[in-house]
Order: sequence, then structure tokens, then C-alpha cells
Amino acid sequence: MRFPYQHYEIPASPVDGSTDLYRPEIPLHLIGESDELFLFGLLDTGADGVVIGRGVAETIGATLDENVRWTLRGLNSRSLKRSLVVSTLRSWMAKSLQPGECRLQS
Amino acid sequence: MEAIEPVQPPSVPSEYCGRWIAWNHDRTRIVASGATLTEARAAASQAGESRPFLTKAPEAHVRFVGGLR
Repeated sequence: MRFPYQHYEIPASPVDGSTDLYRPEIPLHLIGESDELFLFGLLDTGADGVVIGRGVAETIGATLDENVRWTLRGLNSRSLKRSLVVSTLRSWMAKSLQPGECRLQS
Repeated sequence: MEAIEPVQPPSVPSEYCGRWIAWNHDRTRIVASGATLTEARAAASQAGESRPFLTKAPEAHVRFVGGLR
């Protein structure tokens, strides 16, 4: 699997002073009950799972089950409980738009 | 099988830091931006792109980092 990282110009980083940021972003095609979106998602090999924001979920017409809540934890160990279930998302598919880019299918 | 080199997309200028940006469907240029996904999508539609690729550019002074457990 080969794909180009997305380059962002940024103010000098406090970490290393660099003004260049490269992120591994892959194209995604989210299809919900009422709408669809083409997005770029961050390919994070350190993550245990995949989440999408509430705004994205609501835009495509996904149904959120407020009775199902999971704990998410980040670098500072702060835990957030959020409703994550997207029960009516019909498909989640990243389409390869150009040869050489990644292709993922659920 | 012939190896095909992936095409490097254009850089995102720093003026878009923290904003939702909308690319044309071919991802060759940025056609619009907005404070929210909805705004960016609407602005892309006004610019003539009905199937934009959307993403949020990094915040100017925020970085993702890894950490040791």
C-alpha cells in the first residue's frame, strides 16, 4: 500500500521548529442513510479503533444510540464517555481514486 | 506489474490552519473553506464542486504526538 502524505504549511512547531507538517491521510467515502461525504481520514497505526465526529455522523444521517457509551482515552489520560454507536451507517469505504493509493473496504 | 507512483497532492497553505477545507473531487486544488464542515461544504457547492473532499487542516499551534506508556 502506497499513498502520499498530505503536506501542511504551519507556524513553527514548538516540538522541533519545523514549518512543515506531513500527515498520512487517506480518502474515505462515508455513506449514511440520508447523505454521503467524501473525507480524508488520518491513518493512525497507534489507534485501537476508528471514530467519526458527531457532526459528520449527523450530516450523513447516521443514528446515534445515546444509551451506548464508551470510554475514550488520550495522551493525558483524560477519559471521555461518548455515545459512539452509529447504528445505521450503511457502509464505510475508502475508495482508491488513483493507482497506488490505498484501498480499504468494510 | 508496472509500479505506479502516487501523485503528491498540493500543499495546504498555513492560512487554512484550523479550518475545514474543501478540495475538488480530483484533489488537485482547494476550492473553498469554512469554520465548520457544513460551511466548507456549502462554500464548495457555491464554487461549483458538488462532491468535494473535506478535511480539517491542523490547528496552527496544536500537534499530534505519541507517548510512552
